[in-house]
Amino acid sequence: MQPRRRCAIGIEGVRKRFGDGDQAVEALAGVTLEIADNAFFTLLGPSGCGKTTLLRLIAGFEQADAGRILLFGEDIGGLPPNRRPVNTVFQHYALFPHMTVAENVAFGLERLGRPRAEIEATVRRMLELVKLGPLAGRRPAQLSGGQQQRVALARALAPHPRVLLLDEPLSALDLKLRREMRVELKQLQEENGITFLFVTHDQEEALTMSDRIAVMSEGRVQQVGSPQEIYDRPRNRFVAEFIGQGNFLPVTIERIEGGTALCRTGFGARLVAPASRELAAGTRAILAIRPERLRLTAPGEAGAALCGRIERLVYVGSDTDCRVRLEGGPVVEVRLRNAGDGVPPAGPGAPVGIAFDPAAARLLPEEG
Amino acid sequence: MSTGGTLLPPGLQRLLLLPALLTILLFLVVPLGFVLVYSFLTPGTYGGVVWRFSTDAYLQFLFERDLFDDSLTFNPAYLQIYARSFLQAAVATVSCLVVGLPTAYFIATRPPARRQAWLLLVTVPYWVNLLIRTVSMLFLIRDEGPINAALLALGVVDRPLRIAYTDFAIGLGLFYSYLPFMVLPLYAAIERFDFRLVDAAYDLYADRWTILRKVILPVVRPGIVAGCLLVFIPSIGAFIAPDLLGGGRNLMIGNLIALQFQSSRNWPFGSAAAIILLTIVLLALLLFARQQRRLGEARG
Ligand SMILES: Nc1ncnc2c1ncn2[C@@H]1O[C@H](COP(=O)(O)OP(=O)(O)O)[C@@H](O)[C@H]1O
Ligand SMILES: [Mg+2]
Repeated sequence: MQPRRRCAIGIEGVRKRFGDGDQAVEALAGVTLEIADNAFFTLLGPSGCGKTTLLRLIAGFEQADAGRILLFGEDIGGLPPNRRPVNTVFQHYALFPHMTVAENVAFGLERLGRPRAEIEATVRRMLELVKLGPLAGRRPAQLSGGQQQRVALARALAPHPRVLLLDEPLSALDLKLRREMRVELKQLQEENGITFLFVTHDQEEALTMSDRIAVMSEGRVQQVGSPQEIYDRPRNRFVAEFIGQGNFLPVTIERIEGGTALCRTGFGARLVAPASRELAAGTRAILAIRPERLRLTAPGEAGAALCGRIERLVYVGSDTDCRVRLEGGPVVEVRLRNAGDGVPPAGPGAPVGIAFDPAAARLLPEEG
Repeated sequence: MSTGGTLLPPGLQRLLLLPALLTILLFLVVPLGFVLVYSFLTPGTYGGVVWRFSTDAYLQFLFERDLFDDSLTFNPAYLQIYARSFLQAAVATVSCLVVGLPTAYFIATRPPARRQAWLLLVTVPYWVNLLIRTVSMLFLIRDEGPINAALLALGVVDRPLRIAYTDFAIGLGLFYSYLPFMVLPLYAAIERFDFRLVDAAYDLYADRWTILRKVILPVVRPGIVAGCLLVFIPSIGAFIAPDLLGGGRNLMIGNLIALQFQSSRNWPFGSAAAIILLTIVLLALLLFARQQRRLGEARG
């Protein structure tokens, strides 16, 4: 557990609807969040779930229909964007095309009326920070995508905002650059002690960079937690499905003994999983388990909870994805490390057993 | 790398330009050559020219030749015509800009499907011949016209307001004739403008006025410049509006030139006046281009 820190942004029951009548879209359907000071906090969710809308509300470009937005305890609802001590890195950077890199970075400081010498020093420091010193005199059009991204970052950081909002800042970059920038961004955040509110639809990005993640869908927060919590203990099927891969087996809970639930699948297999407080004996549920938590065993081996036949093997470099059709049941994915240990999988058609540690399984409520 | 497409082999690609080049050569360069040559000849008695070299046409622009002793005295009348034309064109350009900017902004910020309809409306005046439009304007603003009739009926004035045959009428005519030339390039520039830049500036502590001054205007400046040139250049040499609306009393360059080829029958002087106008416009363009380049360098 992290020590309790001051709350940088408080979002209390915020709602936002666009349009009216039949065409109304509820972009935010009541969002409540607390974002700790100095945190790297990520909003993760599929396209259209309301992430950008929430950022625009915090930045002041939109007004909430209901609810409050607090910045360090102070309601900022009435302030226009130019009076809020937050800055944004926009999804498509929105660099001023008629200004040089240095002029772009200086823009915010000039509006704040900082003295000339201070502006120059800050601009130089910012450009060094994002490794763009030699390009200070260039125009945005003369820069690569990655360089433009850094200018956007330097421009937003220069006025030293209390909170930096980043709207999918890496989505326009290629994979290699994206990986590098992840590390750099995280480092920047830690070194500058600024709260980052980072938006992405990329679960890998969210897992690798964040202190905390809020998973959103359809204008609602589905779950808030550390990357491990989100990955290992998803609260519902949406979260489990959106982050990483999963196998989802419909089961009926037969009995609960201590902390353990004994379940039965539709095709007659008996499985064990940690009990969930919300799910009583006799109810139907979904048993979720990650592919990498499953092991292949010899068919009929004592520890095997399931058995079936290999349908297909897909080599993906570090791993092999193995699709197994269960006897009388659905297909499950098993992810095997290609480390040379364990039983090398036989070819398609071979009968196999599947084993897993019951602690790695999750019981989720039946609906989505 | 082929940028011109592969429709024609490179050797033949210049052929694409040939028709336009020939047209310009035939209808612009050749007549302009004549005008230039004529401006250095002697006027014939009944129009036309006598093939005798003379710089009188240019001297006449600034000086009056005394009939008896051939001495030259300074005569500012023609300079005044040029100054008035310049002023009229400048006023028309600024008025077009002031009216055109909000119009173009409005159209460019409509939903894309509706912009076409608005643009079509902007071009409606061009469906009617300029002469007809100018005459109609004269009918509207003359002493017995509907505007004055309405003002009289309402008791706003007790004598007809003098609008027709004034400098104001000329300015109005120029403004109305060339307003679409301002709106269209401005629209093109604003339509391309990325309004996310406004959000970015607003986020970086700029107020509305600063956003307009530091972000919107500089980015759409090429459109503003194009619009101003497209209004200013035809305005300074305009003929129809000053002739009809100004009643031929307050001459502009266009009328002066036309007069020389008609009743005054002084072709060399008309040619010289045209060449002087051309030189002024070219010089202005050159200065302007140089200043733009310097501005670009100062920034880059
Ligand atoms: N200005 C707007 N007008 C109308 N609908 C909007 C507007 N902005 C966002 N929306 C709608 O609100 C929903 C959430 O959008 P957004 O916040 O941009 O999602 P995300 O950033 O997560 O992809 C979408 O359905 C989108 O179409
Ligand atoms: Mg978005």
